[in-house]
Amino acid sequence: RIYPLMRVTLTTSDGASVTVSRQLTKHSGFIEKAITDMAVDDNAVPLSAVAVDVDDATLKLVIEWLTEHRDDALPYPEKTDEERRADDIPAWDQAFVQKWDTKEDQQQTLYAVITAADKLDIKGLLDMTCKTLANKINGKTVEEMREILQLECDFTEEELAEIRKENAWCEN
Amino acid sequence: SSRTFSSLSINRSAMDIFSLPADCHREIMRRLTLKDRLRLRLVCRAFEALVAETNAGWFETGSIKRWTTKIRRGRRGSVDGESRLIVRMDDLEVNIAEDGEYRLNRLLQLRTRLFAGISFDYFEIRVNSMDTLDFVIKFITNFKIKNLHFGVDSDIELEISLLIMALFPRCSFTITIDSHADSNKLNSLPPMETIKLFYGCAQISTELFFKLLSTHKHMLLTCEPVSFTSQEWTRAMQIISDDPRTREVRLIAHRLTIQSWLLNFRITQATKARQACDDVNVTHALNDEKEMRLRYKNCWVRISDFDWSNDFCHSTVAMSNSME
Repeated sequence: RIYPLMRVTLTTSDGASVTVSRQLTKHSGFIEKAITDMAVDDNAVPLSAVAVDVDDATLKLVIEWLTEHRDDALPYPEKTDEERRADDIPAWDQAFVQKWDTKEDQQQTLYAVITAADKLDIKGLLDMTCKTLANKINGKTVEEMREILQLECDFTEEELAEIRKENAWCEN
Repeated sequence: SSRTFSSLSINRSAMDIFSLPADCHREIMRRLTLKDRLRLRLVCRAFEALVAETNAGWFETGSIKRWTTKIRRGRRGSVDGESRLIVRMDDLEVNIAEDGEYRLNRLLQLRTRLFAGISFDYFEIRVNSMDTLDFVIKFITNFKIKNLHFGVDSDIELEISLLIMALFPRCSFTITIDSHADSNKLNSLPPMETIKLFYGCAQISTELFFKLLSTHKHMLLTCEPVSFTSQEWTRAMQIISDDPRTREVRLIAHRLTIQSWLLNFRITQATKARQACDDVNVTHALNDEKEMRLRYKNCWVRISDFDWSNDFCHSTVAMSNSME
């Protein structure tokens, strides 16, 4: 069912609220389930409020993505085992993610959107952001991976040497 | 009126990749190559553990092959030399001299640190030693394989293939047998998607041919059933025609065998295209490329390299219920 006239107010984890159309929230399994659990009569109740586990800044990005993808077909296609492509991200989505690259906390923004997509159960956004992160890692050197992922090496030199020795079996 | 629904919250400032849900880790990790996984092992302890705990995803092909090199000893022939084991998965290749359990155990150890599971569309196994069987079984544990192919060049390889097939009952199997195999072992093969017998121009018993025909979906034989009669050709076409599945069988047959079969249906050198002879329609008469096409009920037959007058020629007969 589609409810074009019904709107939902989402309250964020940092106290903000935003009202959006059900045309957008229908892509979120979490919000749809929350509304269903409230047993709202769509004709009698023009507005429902749902508290989401996402901060205001991240929710704005999620809503921007949902607005662009409001007409995407539902249900989202089930993924098969064979699906491992990460190079099929639509141009709009690529540009959407690239905008974050100018931010100082770009990696945190990506993690926050991935987490939000997971918590709100927005399969298309989760799929796209996971592919984006996989693409960032793909083909990079160990040092580049540490830099992109903002991780410190916590191995001893001996441990690193042992792993390199094991890996060397596959790199002949 | 309005109602509210509450839940927990994200702490954005303290996030790193390990704060993402496990589902996200799985989604990210299954899109990386195996070489990426090798490098990720070196990033930090947490990634080394994540690489080992996650599924590597789906890949088109992989293989495990073991063979023994031959060392020439002049006129006395050759003796066995070094045995090598080659494992290929995605962009990785391990090529080791198989000189004892130590290297195999190290390889198993690396595999357990590289992924928890992996899927292949097509995986090929060619192993010629029972000593290696235990390693292969351990190595491919937790592999999800759609099409498992076996290359066989000896009875021991066929025996190993049968043992592995029993452990992967959900796979679709194909097998290529390059030398004469024990008939009892051939008879005990589970249903194959495709079986290829490359026996040169040797012969197999008619009983074995029909056993294989009734068991396996597609067959490619470079050998000829012994003393194949016209009735047996008709029986083979009937089996293929009656099968609701797509079937294709190719085999080699001597010119005289085919001629006798064709004449039995009153097909001669003078028979024209679209001419019906008993239950058989000649859809294409013999052409300059020495090819003739027939149809028997729902079985289409293509005879290639056929010559009415050359007593020494062998022809290829392809029978299928999905041709044309």
